[in-house]
Amino acid sequence: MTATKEPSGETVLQIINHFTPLVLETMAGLTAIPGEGNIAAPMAFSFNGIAGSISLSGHACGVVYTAFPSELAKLIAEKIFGGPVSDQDVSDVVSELTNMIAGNFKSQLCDLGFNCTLSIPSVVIGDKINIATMTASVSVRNAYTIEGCQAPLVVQTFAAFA
Amino acid sequence: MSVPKILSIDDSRMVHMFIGRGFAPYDVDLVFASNGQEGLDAARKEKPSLILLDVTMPVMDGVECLAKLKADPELKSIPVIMLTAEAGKENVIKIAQMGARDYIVKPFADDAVVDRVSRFIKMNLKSAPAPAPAAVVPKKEIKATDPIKVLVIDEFASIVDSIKNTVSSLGWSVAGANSPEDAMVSYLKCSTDAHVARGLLDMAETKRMGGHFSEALVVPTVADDNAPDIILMSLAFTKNAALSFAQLLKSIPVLKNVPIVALSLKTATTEQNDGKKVGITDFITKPINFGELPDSVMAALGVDTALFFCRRDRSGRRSAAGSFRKWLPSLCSAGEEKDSGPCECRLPSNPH
Repeated sequence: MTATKEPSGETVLQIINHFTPLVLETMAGLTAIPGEGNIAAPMAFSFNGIAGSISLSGHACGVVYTAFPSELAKLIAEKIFGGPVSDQDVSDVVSELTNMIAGNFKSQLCDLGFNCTLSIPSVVIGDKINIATMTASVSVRNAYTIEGCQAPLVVQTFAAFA
Repeated sequence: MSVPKILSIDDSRMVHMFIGRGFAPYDVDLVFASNGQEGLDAARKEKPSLILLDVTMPVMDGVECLAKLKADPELKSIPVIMLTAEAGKENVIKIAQMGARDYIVKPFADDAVVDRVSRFIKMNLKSAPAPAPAAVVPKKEIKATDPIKVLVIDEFASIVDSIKNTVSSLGWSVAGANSPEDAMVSYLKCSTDAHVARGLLDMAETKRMGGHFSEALVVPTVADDNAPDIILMSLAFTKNAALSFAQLLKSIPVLKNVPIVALSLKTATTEQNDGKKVGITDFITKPINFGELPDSVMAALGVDTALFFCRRDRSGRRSAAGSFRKWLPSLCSAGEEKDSGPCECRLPSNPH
């Protein structure tokens, strides 16, 4: 059996950079412009808003975090629902969008030979939410500027491969 | 016929909302469940025509739910379409082996779901108007010898010209437009400019898709003199403009009985089916067989084809429409060659 080459940080960033704008464009009709990205195990960051997270387990282990500033999460939810939204709606939207980004990321990893399963999405709402690097061979972060909102969406991905 | 019932099993309200929005124009019953267990219970109770099933859910995930559906003799024949963001090869093979009929990758547009579902169950638009029956609203009676007014709407000027060349020798008049908007501004004169025409088409499209708007405010007026006897229209315009236009015509009194013949590719079956829902009953396949075109037009007009006609072109030669052409030599006497204008001849009751 030939050994499967581990995806690099660059590969992970490319995957996330492809699917994050795709999800936002398809579901909310919003254009998300990726920043340069950071593939060099970025430092922990703190933000206020809503964070979605989904973990992967199997031949690829890790977590995909999405960090939505409150105003952005509300904007996206209102675009999707077509009107005023409740906190529950905003939470549901963050959860499902995170699921779509992480699900497509997981599919790509499986096709690269790293089969894994996804957890149910979790959503955390609050101030000064810290997202820090855990022990992971790949740690990638990027910010996505979305029309109509100054604060960007940040997607942070940690992964280790076996 | 009973209304089809679709069960959507997904833990996301957002996905239910997308599905509700996608199927809003259709006459279907939607049932929602938020996890696999609730979905199984709902399937047993509701006996849906089709199930949309998410994969990642709390309580019972979609894969386990699918296995239980397929193990239940009463439910196993219900087609299941999986909705999943996990579209890796292995996952797709797995759900196919378990009996899912299709899968839709998240993120998805709501019309993509409608498209997939329509491959398995027949759905009708909620407020699609039935074509007006001729017996209730009589059509204008047209004879073969009448100077038929044809409006051709096609994006290709060459098609308009070819149709003009084909039928002008029969004494028919042909006006061409390169879009429904152009037809509304230049020929029907029911709109001052293309933007206003586009707005009218957008509202007609809303109605075609099951929405509502105040017809009293937006139905344009068309003068009798500007009404054609028949409209030949391409179905290939963007934004469903041809279908919107057909919908709009049905609300204009002087035009609602004017037959619309669609010019479309043989393979454009979806557009043709949608066309039938807005009253387009006749179709001419592209590439057009111009020799048969007059016959098709007369058939759409309901012209009594027992009445043979021939006309003279500018050089004085007689010509006749389509399949009637072959009877011309034996039916017109030599003496008529000197006459000008149309002559009429009776075909044998059974020419074959």
